[in-house]
Amino acid sequence: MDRPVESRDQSLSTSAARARQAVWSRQLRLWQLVLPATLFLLVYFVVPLGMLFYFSVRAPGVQGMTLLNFQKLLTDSFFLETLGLSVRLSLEVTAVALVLGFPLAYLYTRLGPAWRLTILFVTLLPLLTSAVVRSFAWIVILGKQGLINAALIGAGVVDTPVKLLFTLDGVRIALAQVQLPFMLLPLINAMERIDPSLEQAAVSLGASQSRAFFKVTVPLSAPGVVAGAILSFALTISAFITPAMVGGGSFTVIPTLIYQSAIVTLDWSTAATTALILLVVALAVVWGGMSLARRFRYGPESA
Amino acid sequence: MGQRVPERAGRLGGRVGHAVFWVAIWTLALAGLLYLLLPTLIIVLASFTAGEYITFPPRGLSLRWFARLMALEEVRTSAWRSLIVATAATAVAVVLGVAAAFPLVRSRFAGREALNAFLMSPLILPSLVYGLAGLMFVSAIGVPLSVPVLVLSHVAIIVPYVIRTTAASLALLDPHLEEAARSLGANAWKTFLRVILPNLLPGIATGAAFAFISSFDNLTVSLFLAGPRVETLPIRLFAMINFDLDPAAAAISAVLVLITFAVVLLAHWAVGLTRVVRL
Repeated sequence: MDRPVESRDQSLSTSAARARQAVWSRQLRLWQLVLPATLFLLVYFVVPLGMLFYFSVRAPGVQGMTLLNFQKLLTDSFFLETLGLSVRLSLEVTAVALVLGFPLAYLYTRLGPAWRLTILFVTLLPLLTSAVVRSFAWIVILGKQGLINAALIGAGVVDTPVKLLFTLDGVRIALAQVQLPFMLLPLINAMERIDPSLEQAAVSLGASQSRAFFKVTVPLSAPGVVAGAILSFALTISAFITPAMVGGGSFTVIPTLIYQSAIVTLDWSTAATTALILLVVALAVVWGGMSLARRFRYGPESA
Repeated sequence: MGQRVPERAGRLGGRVGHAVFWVAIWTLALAGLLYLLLPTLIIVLASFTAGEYITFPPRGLSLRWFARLMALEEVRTSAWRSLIVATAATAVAVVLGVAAAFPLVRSRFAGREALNAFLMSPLILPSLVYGLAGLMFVSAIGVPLSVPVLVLSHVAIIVPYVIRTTAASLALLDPHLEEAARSLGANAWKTFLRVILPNLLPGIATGAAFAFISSFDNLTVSLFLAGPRVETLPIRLFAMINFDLDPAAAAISAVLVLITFAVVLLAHWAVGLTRVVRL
């Protein structure tokens, strides 16, 4: 940045020191441009999160800070069951998204531009579509007279409609579709960095195609798998709309608890405490995944 | 001679294995593509039903439910409100985000990486948690729930999109262009308006489009911060689907899918989808 400014000033026979000072003061002013957004987020993002913390350590009849809310929730069997269900559901959904996303991302790196564009378009469209609309579509698909039951009855697999809507299975199906794009994009990014000639080398040295795939491509895409899994897990465990609409109150997940205590029973301390526990679980997974990814990047396997 | 038989069998096995491998990959990949596309396809097709209920396949084709949308006063009011909220939130986010992107890319200062992570953090926080925190904040400072409150809360969650796409475009912009403009006598403002801004426009437009659609479609933050008198379109739609399966809800959904389609096309036209996914 400073080189041509200097040369211009030299041609105008002013000192290089003054030019450097001019650049420096410009940089100072440039630095200030980040302030409005930062201040806005401090007031409108950080302070609200502080409020969340404040409500979680306050309890009626107790002076100052207390861990009573956490103690109450973490010894409540219904809460622990709900937390367990949320974690299990998120792991299952992440696994399904990985199994369907990995082959698609792999093909993406092996196909021409037209296919690539198709895959990206089909990935981005649901990613940007309203969660309410997607959940509504799954209600139509999973219902008694929906597409899946019509197909199953038409093919003679079952005589009476299978109950999918307002069940945990239905929510698993709907959530895995929602999370697939979040799994696909990091996978595609990671796999594009792998040199395809590595797999070809393995094949020409006598490995079968599937052996080359599992021994070369799969380990090298580990960073993408970890990134996609973190994203998918964190988003599933905090998903509210799809479990509420497709689950229809047939079961409870952590986000449902947060909404109920905040809006229905107006118990803000419980709502805030539940939200913080959710954040801690999600952050623990993110942190664990990131340290795993670091091991993949620097470990002996990455040679 | 004796050795050639197992070798040939091995090669045949290899070819069969090769075919099985690719059939498996293609099957799973095509299943994934269909799975991704199915809900969008179904909801758009279902909205053209001529029947009284939503079914798939639709019973006859008609535009009656789209016509009914126009007659539904609540839908019109909430759609108009969502449009205002999303437009205002996007405008504020573009001003804050574009300004912030410059120092994040062009300046060197201590803690730049940390600041970048901080400005991106609203993307990671579950929006339900932010909605709850925002509600607590707003009631603590004693401000009644209103459209401006909703706009500001949407700005907080969409500003990262603008920062990210603008910063990505700026990183690709050759600094020599600016220097050329400056050395040819353009002042800082002129350089910004005539040289930098036109080059960043595709990136800014993509970020603004993503920001707009995120605000327009947002339900979880609005559920907490909209209040009973400020109903947005996603809240209306949520209620319509949960309380009575009105086919007009499918018509609204089809319109929302169309808007999303336009956003993806805009992103492709402006910067190309292969670059969008690397953001």
